[in-house]
Amino acid sequence: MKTSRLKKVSVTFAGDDNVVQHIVPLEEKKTMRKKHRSQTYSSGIEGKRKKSKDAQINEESSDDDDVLVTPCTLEADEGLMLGSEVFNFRTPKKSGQMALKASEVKTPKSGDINIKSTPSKTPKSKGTTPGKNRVMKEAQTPNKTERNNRRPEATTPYRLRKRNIDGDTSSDDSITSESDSDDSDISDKPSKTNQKQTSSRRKNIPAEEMTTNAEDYFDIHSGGAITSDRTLSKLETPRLDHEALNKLLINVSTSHPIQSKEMIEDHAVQFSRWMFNMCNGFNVLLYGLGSKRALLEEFRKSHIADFNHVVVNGYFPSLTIKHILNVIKEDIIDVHDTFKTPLDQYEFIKNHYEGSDYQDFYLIIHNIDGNMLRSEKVQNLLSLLAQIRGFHIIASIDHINAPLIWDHTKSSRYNWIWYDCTTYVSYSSETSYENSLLVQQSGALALSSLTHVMKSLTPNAKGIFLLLSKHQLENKDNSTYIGMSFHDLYQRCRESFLVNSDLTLNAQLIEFRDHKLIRSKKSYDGAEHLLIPIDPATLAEFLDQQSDVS
Amino acid sequence: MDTAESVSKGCFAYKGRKRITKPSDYFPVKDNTGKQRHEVYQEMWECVDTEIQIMQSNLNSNIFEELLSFVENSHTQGTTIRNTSLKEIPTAALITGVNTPDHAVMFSNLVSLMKERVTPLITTLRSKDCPALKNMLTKTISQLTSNPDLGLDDEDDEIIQTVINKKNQLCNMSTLVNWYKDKYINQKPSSPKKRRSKSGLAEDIDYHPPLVIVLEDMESFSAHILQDFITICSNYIEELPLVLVFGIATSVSAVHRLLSNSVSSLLCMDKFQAPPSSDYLTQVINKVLFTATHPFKLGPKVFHLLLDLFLYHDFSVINFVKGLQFCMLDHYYSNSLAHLCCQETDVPATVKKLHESDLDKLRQIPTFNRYMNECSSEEKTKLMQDSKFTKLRVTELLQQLHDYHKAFFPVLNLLHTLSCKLPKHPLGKQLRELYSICIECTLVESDAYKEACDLLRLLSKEELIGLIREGITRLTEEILPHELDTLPTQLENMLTRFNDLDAETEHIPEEDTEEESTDAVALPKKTDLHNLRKTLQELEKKKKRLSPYEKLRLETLNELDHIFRKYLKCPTSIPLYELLYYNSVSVIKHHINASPRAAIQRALSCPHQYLQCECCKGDVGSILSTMPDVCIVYKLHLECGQLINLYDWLQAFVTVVTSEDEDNETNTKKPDQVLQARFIRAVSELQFLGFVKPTKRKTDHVARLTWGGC
Repeated sequence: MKTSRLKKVSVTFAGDDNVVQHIVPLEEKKTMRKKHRSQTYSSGIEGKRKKSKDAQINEESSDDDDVLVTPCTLEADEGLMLGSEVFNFRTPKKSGQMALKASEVKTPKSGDINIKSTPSKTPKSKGTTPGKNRVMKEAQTPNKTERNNRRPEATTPYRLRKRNIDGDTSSDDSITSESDSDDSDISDKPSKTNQKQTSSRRKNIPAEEMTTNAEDYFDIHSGGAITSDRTLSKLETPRLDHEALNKLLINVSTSHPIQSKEMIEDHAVQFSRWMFNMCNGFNVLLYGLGSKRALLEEFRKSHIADFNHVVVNGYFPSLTIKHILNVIKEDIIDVHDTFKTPLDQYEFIKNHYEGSDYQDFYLIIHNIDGNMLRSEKVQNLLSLLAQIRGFHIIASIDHINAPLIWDHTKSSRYNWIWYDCTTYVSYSSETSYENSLLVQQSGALALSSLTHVMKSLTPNAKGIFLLLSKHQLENKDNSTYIGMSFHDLYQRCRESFLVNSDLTLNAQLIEFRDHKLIRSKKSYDGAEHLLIPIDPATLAEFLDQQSDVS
Repeated sequence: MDTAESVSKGCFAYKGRKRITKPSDYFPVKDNTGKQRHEVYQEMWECVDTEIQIMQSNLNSNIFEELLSFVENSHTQGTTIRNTSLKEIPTAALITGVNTPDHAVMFSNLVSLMKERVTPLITTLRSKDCPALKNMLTKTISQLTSNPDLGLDDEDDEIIQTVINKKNQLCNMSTLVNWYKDKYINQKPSSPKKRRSKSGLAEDIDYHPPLVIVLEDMESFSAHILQDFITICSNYIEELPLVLVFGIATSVSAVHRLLSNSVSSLLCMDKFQAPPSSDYLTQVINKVLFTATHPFKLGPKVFHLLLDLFLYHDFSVINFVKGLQFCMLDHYYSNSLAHLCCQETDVPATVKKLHESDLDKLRQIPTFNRYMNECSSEEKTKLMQDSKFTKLRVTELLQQLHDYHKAFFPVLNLLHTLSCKLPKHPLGKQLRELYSICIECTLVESDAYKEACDLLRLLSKEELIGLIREGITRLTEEILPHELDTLPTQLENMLTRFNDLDAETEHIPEEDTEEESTDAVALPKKTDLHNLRKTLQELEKKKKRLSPYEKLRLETLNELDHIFRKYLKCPTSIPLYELLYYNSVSVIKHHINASPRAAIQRALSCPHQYLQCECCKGDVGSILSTMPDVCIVYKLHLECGQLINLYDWLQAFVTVVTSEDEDNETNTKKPDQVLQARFIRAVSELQFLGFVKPTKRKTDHVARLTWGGC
């Protein structure tokens, strides 16, 4: 793969004008392309699929530069072609059917999972309209050899396909323009050795993605939430704790390790470019799927280890802007004055850097869109830092809506140069803090702390808490339950000789509150209600545990 | 130390030995021209940058003048006004436009001007500095008294703030009053003289410099703070000559939206409208790009992109300039021959220094290649082999390119003056529109140009004379290259000829009437419709031929057309244009106007495009077991509505992943823990990316946060 790529590099110096001379009549060209393709991909499938497509190939493909052909550009064309095929067959569909399908899909795969899509099943479920069958033959037969038993076509997300179609019409143009812009792009750069790889990878990531359709929104929000009632408790181990999860994942090899590594190497080639950009007053922002931690770490070690720098883990759950500023102030500037506000601190740092000789300072922020850094104030301060003379920021973002945290004043202060650094590396450290959905983190923590606090309580206090938790558990199915009213609790406590006055009860409750074991809420009539902020399952477990002890 | 694993800290500091980074270290090692390129880049960028800076300070000069005189006169202009409109604070509402990134520079210019000419007592407040009234007052007073130590107590606690603050404020404002009185009123005998010599405007001895408070981003202040502040100020207006300057990005109505009636009645507002930023942009473009002095040029697509970003995204000239800077940076960084894009005088020296390998690269440049092919075979072989000859030729070609630019822009200006007022603006209203047509294709062959020519042929004499006269003045403003020296006189000649026509006009009407009378005889014959039309058309032609003005007009326009044809060639047709024109639009798009969400969604839905592996190839909709887990999970979640059942999701995931193995039922029923763990990881990654979030609406469900997508 690599060598073939390199070979192509040597012939890339053809501008549009030269290409014009090379353009051959359409038919000839097709055969050439076909040959080309079957060389690139040894699979015969491509050839087959191609045939059905050739009929539809429009002039656009002739714009394609023969010399330039990289797998990527071809693939993009392919995507388009398939899209238009699907488009032909999709048009007769009515919106009613769509809703039907949507509700079908909503309890998603359970149906076909249980029956386990056999090859015979797929066509049956699909062949509802005659139009479908026709396309099935075209689109699916070639694939069969490759993936017969999967549940592919049957579950090919309908919406997804539709989206693809919608995207088509608009993306057609953008791709063409993109491809010839790339031609000139390349001709601009005689020394393209490093350029080539990255550009080949990113060649076709134009804006055609954003073809979301307003209809989709209503699609999703119209039908209410019809999902199956299955819960995870059906599993043997409904929830794994964090440790167990890590243990399990250690042995799992990530998919495509080779490609992933290659991509990281590709990005690493750009390091000096990043440095160069930063030296010239820009800041660098990395985006794209996959953890960019390791990449940034590598960059740090190889390129800025010699300079003063600070690394910030933006995903760290208890990070504050004060921390960051303090670290800069205390560890880098070596001043231990205290300041009232972060703004004063910023002023100090600014004066320090702009008052003395020019100095470079690098701030590496993993996930500048991290939870704790998202607020307007923090971003404002960071963007101000970015403006200080000699300050350079290199950061990464992952959240899909990350750019929304900057208004245009801020983003102009940041002065970002964006780099697509897709790595496909899993976000292991970034998500380790996240209170993940299936990880039993919070529950375990709460339970252990509960028992821990319990041990230190007086018998009377224990009794009060147990009383409260039992009452809450009794009401667990009551969705309007807002807690036990103080008065009720007092009555019951008196009945069981746990307290003798409401003052003593209050004293006890304060202790609970300090440990965050209870929360109080005022109801409509102003009476205080007490609630244990723990989910019923954990609470039940806790009660079991307590009854075991006693 | 690995920074990833720490559970106690989020920031890590490292000290380094080096202090300063050298940009030239980061050019690709293989290039021997790196250093040179960087030097040229710096030189070029400095030229551009200083030019822009000068422009910046000149910009808005008119509006600033007005504002300054307003501030000057607000309190001196007779005590009568102040007495009648008791407690009204003179306020200037400066409408700045929505291009907020540019404002900081604008205000700093304004403040320095005011300091220089009106009053030393100025404070600028930004909303970010003023989260509370306390900060606002502290900031104001400390800046006015230029005494930064005048801070208040350290307590940030809000409860204390509200109680104690009132006292502090009052005390503070009164300290300001006292300070002001001390400095400017009580020391009357000594200070006025000083001030007079300093500012030269203290005509009456009672002049006291006004205290100017500039609120840069008035709209983003919180309303109640601003209201309190204004009320406090109005209480002191008797004693202190306060003037407020509001920077408003939208419109004056923002003031009324923000301030209650009772407060806004305390203000005596004047509106000042800053010129729109597009004017500024036009200036920048004209000075930096539409000139032969800066050799670096933007190619058509990049130019378009940057313009579009300006016009449709932010209206920020600063961002445009930054984009331009990045283009230059990238040009010099990625094009190993870019150091040839230097000032004309340096061209021979730079070419001389070229290495053999550089020449090889040069020969591969498409336009140069084409040029070689056009040469005779003898020359071609010489160009291929003889480096000395090649260098000579390259110098010549670059010289030609520079000369081309020198002639190009004056002629472009001329065409623009002629065409900008045509109905429907076939060639655009702005010079930049015309320019972008010019660099994209051969202008004279474009339809727009033909249309413009046709329209010009219909102009009346007065209009045409006016246009040509304008064109002459435009031309004389420019520095004309040698070959165009005669152009203005040539145009003058045309003008005189037009004027001379007036003398002949007396004869013409007679001829015309004669003609018409003969025509009138010719017409009444009985003919069919077709013939009638024909004859009418012929008559028309005859008439045209006969008017001397029209004859002259045609002649003039043909002459002009000839000039345009000669000088407004498309740059792409000129050999070696690649060295001066930067046109990698995709690079700019990716690095300046990136769309991170699209990249992520693409990576999730078509992993093979990034991974470039065979195993994940398939149409966009399909889910393959070889894809990375997160892609599978993502594709499955696309099928769902608002809520996703985790159990079903897991089952589906297991089905996809195990589909390659033998189909055993147990697998689906009781997925092994490794699969479950993989699923958990994938889902939490999706959560991290913002596609799903946990929800309490139903047990073991998550909510989808996106719709559509790909």
